[in-house]
Amino acid sequence: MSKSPLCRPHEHRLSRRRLLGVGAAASGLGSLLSPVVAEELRGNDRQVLCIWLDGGMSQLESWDPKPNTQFGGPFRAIPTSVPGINLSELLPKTAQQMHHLAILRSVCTQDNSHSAGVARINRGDPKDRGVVYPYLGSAVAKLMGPTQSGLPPYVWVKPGSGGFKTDDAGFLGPAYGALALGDAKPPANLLPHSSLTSEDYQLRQELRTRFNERFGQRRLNDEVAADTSVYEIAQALMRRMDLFDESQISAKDTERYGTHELGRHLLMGRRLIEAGVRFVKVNSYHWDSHGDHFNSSDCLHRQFDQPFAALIEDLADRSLLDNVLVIVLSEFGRTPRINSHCGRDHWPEAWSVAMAGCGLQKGAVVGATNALGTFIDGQEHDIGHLFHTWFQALGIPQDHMEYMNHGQPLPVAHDDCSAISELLS
Amino acid sequence: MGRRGSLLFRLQLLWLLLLLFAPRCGAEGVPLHQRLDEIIARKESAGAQTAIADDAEFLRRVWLDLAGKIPSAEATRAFLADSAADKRTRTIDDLLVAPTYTKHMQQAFHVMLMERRGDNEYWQKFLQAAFTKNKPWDSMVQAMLEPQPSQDDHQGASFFLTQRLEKYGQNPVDHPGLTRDIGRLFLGVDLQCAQCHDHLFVADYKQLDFQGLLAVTQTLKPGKADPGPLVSEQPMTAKLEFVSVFDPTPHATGPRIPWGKEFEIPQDLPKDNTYSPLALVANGLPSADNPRFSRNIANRIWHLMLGRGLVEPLDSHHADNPPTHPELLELLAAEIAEHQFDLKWLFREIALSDTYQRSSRWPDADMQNVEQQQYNVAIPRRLSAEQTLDSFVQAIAGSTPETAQAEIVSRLKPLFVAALASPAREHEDHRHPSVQSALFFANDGDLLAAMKRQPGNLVDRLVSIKDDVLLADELYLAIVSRLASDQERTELISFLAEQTDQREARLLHWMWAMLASTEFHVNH
Amino acid sequence: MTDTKQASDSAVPLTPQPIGQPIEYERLLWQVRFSPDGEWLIGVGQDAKIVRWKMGAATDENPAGLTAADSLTGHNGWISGLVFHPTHRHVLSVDSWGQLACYSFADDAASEPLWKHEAAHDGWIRAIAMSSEGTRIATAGNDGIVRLWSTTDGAQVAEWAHGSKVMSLTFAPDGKSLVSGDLFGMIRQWNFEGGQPIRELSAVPLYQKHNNQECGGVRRLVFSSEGDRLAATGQKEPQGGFAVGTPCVIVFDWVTGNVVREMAVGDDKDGFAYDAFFHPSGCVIACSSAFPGKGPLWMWRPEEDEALLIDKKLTNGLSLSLHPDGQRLALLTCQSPNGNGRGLKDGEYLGGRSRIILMRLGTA
Repeated sequence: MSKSPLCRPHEHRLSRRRLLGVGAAASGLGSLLSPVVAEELRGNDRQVLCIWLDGGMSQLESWDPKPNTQFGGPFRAIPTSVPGINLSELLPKTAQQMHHLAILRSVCTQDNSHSAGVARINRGDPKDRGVVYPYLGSAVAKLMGPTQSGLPPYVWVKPGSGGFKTDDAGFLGPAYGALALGDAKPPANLLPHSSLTSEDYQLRQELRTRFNERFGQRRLNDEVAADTSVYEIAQALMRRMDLFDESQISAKDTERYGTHELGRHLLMGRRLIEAGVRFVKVNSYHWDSHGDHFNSSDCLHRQFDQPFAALIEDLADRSLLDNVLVIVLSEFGRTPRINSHCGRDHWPEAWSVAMAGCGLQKGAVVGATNALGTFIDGQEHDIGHLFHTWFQALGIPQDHMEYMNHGQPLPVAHDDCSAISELLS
Repeated sequence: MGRRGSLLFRLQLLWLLLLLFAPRCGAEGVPLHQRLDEIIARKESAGAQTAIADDAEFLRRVWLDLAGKIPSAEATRAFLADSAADKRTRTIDDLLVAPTYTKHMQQAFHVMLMERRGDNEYWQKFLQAAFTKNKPWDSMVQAMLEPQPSQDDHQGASFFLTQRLEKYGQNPVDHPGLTRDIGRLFLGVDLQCAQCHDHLFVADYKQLDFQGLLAVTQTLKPGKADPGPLVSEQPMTAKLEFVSVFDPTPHATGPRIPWGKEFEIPQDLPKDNTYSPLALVANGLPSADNPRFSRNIANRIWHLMLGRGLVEPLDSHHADNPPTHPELLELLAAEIAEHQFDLKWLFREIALSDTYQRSSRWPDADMQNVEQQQYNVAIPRRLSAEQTLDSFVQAIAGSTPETAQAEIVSRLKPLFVAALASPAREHEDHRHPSVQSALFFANDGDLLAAMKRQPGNLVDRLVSIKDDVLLADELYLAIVSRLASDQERTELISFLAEQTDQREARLLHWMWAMLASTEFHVNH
Repeated sequence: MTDTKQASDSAVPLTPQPIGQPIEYERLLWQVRFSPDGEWLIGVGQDAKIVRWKMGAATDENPAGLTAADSLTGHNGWISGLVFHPTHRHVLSVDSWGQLACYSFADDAASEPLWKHEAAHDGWIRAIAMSSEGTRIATAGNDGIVRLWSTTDGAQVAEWAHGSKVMSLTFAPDGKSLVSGDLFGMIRQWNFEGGQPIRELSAVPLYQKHNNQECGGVRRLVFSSEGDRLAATGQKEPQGGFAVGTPCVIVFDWVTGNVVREMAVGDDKDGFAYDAFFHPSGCVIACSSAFPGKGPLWMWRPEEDEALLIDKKLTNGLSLSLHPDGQRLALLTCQSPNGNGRGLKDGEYLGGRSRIILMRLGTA
């Protein structure tokens, strides 16, 4: 078999799954971009809140309803705060926030399986370069670093277990994994030990820093730099213990977001954004309703609608929406065809992604499906287009959009895709 | 002592005799460690290298590499005071026959080979016996791959295979993963991307290399333990067919060692079940005739000692990813093969070299000429979870009875592993701190409690030392295996003087900061 | 038919035999019912149409004797239920957009509704029931409100809050109460004054909270003709996701409120029991649906420990209707492929279709 014509000799050096597992720490943090740009981005106060609805949210019962059609299902479409744009009746509160949102209805992606599809979407499904690309959160953590708050740049609020999840980081290396907060609970050992006062703790850190400084003189610096970085982030987290103190949450917030899991987690997401976490991901599971979908979605979409609308409203009220990019994402949509156990199966062919916030149009719908909602009518957009769009909305300069991997540039998103200009403001 | 003890003693004696009398030179009679230094020196820019590490630096490093933990304060003191010219060589030799060598290698190879997938008592026994007896590497790999233990001390080695033949979660048995790991760990090649087609970027890795080995592994299942883990094989009676996703031409292969010859499948399978492709692989793959096999282990041992493989990543040997020192890799590979894959011999030769004994501190503040890849300075490398734990216990409780220390180790082990180790199925070739480990060290109750004053432990002894010099030295020797500098001593004393009624608490602060410092967590 | 077991009681219906070819309909229907006069078979479902077949004499070309007539329009979304007036030739239907309508169904030509309420409910009306003497209908659905209407002029007569999503309704044959079944497996009996239930029965095996979702519910409620037994259909210990569990019908003694029989039929991939009725002999006949080829039809006398008949070929049944002659049975089945992704057939993306099988019920 002949080599791919795209194959260039220096790319062979990259042909590894975990190439920079070493390099990321060894060659120092922030080595991906030229120092000047890295500094600019660090000063940039833009953030991301990504809501992942695992299993595939049905676009026909949410962002792209087709009432009274063969595949439209039982629900109605309702008007929104933007005349001419309708959403499914299952998102009544979100409909009132439509003037903040931008919806892309022409999403067409490649994979209809969960096992591969989830990772492909999260990674932007770039061209195969022989490396495992990072998830969006790890990418942003690397490209933009933490904000001034010093909090970990990538925090993941999820049901189940927490911990440091390194898988997301791909070739960037474990330092760019997610700090996962299981059920929004604090990470292990966050609370300073009862035997230590905060003065004790400070004293210890000062001594440690002094010792490290001395040790780092005339030595290769990577290990000291790595320790400094993780302790600083740990410290920043400890200073914000109040984020995990439930008494700090107002009754009004609890009522508006709801006491159900996604409600609590989205509220935590908002608070983490307010605290200055660069990239917050909130996961919700069990959206994969192959059967009895019209009862499932009635339940689940409302569990999403209530806190999501509250979130958008709050971010807008606090003037955060100008600087925060909000994304609602799944691995695919759901089939127009309704199956014999009253459900919808997986449908990457034509689905929707909703978003809001910095750099994006407000109250906009871009792209369309045909009258039946089966396929895209007009220009199709893959997840690569969305990645380019989001990076641009975040102010990551177009011509510096590269990962440097041992001197070899890698594009941050699929090279054949580009930003969707109609979505950008 | 008994039979077992005297056997051990005889083995150690034999080893020492071999050291004294057996030829340990390369072809020209020059020791390997000298030849490797020459090759390294040739590539370095003139004059741009750092000095050899001082005694404290050397001792700590060689203990961590050959014993898996820092030396005791006592051992360091003794070494620093020793004026013998050959003390370094003697230390190396002592460490190579000490029980700590076996314990450390058992642990390090367990993590390298199993990647935290789980454990098994027979597997541990196999590793322990192997390193105690200095079993040759090719024989170890044969033990891991063969269908039945061909020797008593091969019991348990099949865990390498059987643990990878279990399902985890909802995934089916990962035969391709097992195939890939045999390539990665024993041949230094990652054939993952050659499963479905010739590797897109690496010309050397062909689909045939993957599929030929898969033809062997996919017939394996975990067998019934008796008593150690055993593998069960149902050899294929026909060739494995495969097709590239890019090219519909069908291919077929019988069992095959990657880059080796294909084994013929007999027309009629012998009734006595003597046809075993797995046995053919177990006998053929780990061999001096297999240059990839030799290069892989040479590179991995080099990496264990120097912190960086001559080929990086360690499972990425191919024509377009050349070693930093091709001549050196060939030399090490040839020599280890010639020495019957005697790992201890190679560890020793590397430890004796100037390259290994180089300081990690650069002579001047200007670090411009540092070339990590040319080894003109020692590369600091982070300790493993186990090295960190064992060193931590050595530091805070090294002067207490063995049983007390063992108790602390077993109590803290799961915590250290949770905080510092990689997740299962990921290699730990290079390690990093994390926010999790930082929070663990800062705030974990069990860890902090272990440091507190107990009869005979470090802080207990320090509290009663009145002399400033003795205090500082005892503290620094215990934790960072060196004497305190004048400045460090002065700072410590004035720190303690700030609150004389809080001496113990203040000592604990200082101790914590040292135990949390990069200097402690890194082999430098 | 497979898995047939003969009972000793000679009045029990058995061995359904197909009459002619099944009727194919190009869209997915939810319910079919024979009119009280036996002259029409009417189906409703996902195309918001009242689909009609006229029953005529059997011929060689048309052994079933069913001829399609024009559909009645005017609904939106999904029509989720229909009832017939016992004597006037009216059919009343409810849809998922909240509309209640009354049509004359017996003219050859299609006609407009006689009356309708576009917003009889807010959103999906899941159930409609007709009182046995024909003066009242009841509707309820996702809004959790039960409303009573006069059949003469469609005026609302009463309303009360059930409190949660209602999925099924039926009047007791003695005309004295209305029974509603909800998402949580609760069955409530209401008299017609006040807004409080006078009794609650629990069909809680038909409900489960699973994966953050409220799953299952009482999908159909039906009385025996004497009114001594009530059957509630659904799925046993339902789950989210694929939602293919074990179809289940729970039969209550109406007087005592005790469970007479819990009929869980099939394996855990046979889906929901969507519809059931009491044959005059007292035997319950039920249908179910899950993946293509799953969801059997069964017959089971509540007194017996086991089903009389489980037919694993008559699968994907969504609705059953017994002809007034007591001899013929119509089974509506769902013919819809499942599967992820494109699945085009000859370049076409096909939706699900319906197949109605007319059968004769023999007796032993």
